[in-house]
Amino acid sequence: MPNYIDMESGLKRVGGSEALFKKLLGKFVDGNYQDQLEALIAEGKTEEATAMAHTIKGVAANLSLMEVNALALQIEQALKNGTEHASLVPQLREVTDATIVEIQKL
Amino acid sequence: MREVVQKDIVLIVDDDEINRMILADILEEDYRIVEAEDGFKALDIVHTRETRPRAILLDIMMPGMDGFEVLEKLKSDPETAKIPVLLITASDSDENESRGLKAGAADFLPKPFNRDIGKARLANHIDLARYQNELESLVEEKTAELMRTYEQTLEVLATVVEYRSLESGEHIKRTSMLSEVLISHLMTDPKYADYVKKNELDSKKAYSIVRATSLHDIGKIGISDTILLKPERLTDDEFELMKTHTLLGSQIIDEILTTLGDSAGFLTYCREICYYHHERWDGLGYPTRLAAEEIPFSARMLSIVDVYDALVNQRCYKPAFSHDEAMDIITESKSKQFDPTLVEAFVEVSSKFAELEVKLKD
Repeated sequence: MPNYIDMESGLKRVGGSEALFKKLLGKFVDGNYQDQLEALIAEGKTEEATAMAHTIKGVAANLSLMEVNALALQIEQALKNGTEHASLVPQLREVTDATIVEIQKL
Repeated sequence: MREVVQKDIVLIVDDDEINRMILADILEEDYRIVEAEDGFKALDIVHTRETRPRAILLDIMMPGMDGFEVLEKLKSDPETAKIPVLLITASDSDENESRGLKAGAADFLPKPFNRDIGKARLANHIDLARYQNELESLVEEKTAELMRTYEQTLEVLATVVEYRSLESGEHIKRTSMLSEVLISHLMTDPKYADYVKKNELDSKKAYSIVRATSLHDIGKIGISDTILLKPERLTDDEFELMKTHTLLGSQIIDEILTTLGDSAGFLTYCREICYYHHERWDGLGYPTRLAAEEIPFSARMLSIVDVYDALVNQRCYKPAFSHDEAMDIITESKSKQFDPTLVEAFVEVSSKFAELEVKLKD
């Protein structure tokens, strides 16, 4: 099973506070990052979409959401370099949804 | 009773709330955290006295004004240039790091944040900046002390010359005080704003000139007693020798300039005053017959004050005039011996001059 949330490193970052970590994960869920990214891509706003992918990458790194982080990085680079990203976006959607399911189980 | 220690302020600038919250959590134990979600707000906070931070953690990619632009603004403003800035970067961007370093960033904080390393890096930079500030203010303080000592040494030398002229040593103090009153009147009365601007007068220059006036007659150290102390009118030949005190004075200052340099501008004004304080507005003075604004402001200013003080006090060659008599002579010499604007200003503050004179008469 993919490692959606690396609880150990995530908790360590917030000094072991489970309550804060859960709160931050809740913010990630409420942030609707994926919807925003898809909307920007659909509108053809490549620059803003790149920035959004960058934000998702950073937030995911800080929350130790490993799969989301890895895919957001790929999308950011694809958008920056003008390479194929169409297939990556649904993959990120899938991973994000799975991550949210994991979060809600905590 | 427990001592309350004010925590240092750290500003976190990041457009994403989650990142800010994590950083705040890492740092809030040791610092007072202030947050900004964009560059504009960050600059506002930095420029507000109560929230001026000790260090700034700055995200690069932000909508509106990005981190590089914020960094550039901070570094180009002397008021904020010394605040250490740590850029928040993605770990995969060497390009940003090199650009950030060139723009003056102190260090980087890679995402994902590492709690212990992040804390330690920030603490290092805050300590370093504080240490640097302390050193700078210490150097400033010591330099000012040194300057004062050396100005005082020169003043003592000038006083020695004056004692030799059988004057009381008060002439130097009075001309400094009178110069200060005249210059501050010029700088505070708005109708002299253009004049002040034309003569590039600011508070630093004013201070240096006032101090420099003490040395205006230092060249008299090279004039023989038979001339310096002669109670009668000087012969033409004797007067020619007397005139050389301007040149001698500027040569003495030149010697000192060569040895010490002149970071504060003080000696440059000393030399101007020594050399040119017997020049006249109409170009008939000595030693170089400069006219009007060719004569440096410092010397034009001192010449009025010097003549006034010589008039109202007794000298070996003349009795003392009253204040009103002296003012008449000065006013009559407007545009002949003296800068007309300075005469006007001088007349306006003459009531204050008179008060000082009463207290300071030989």
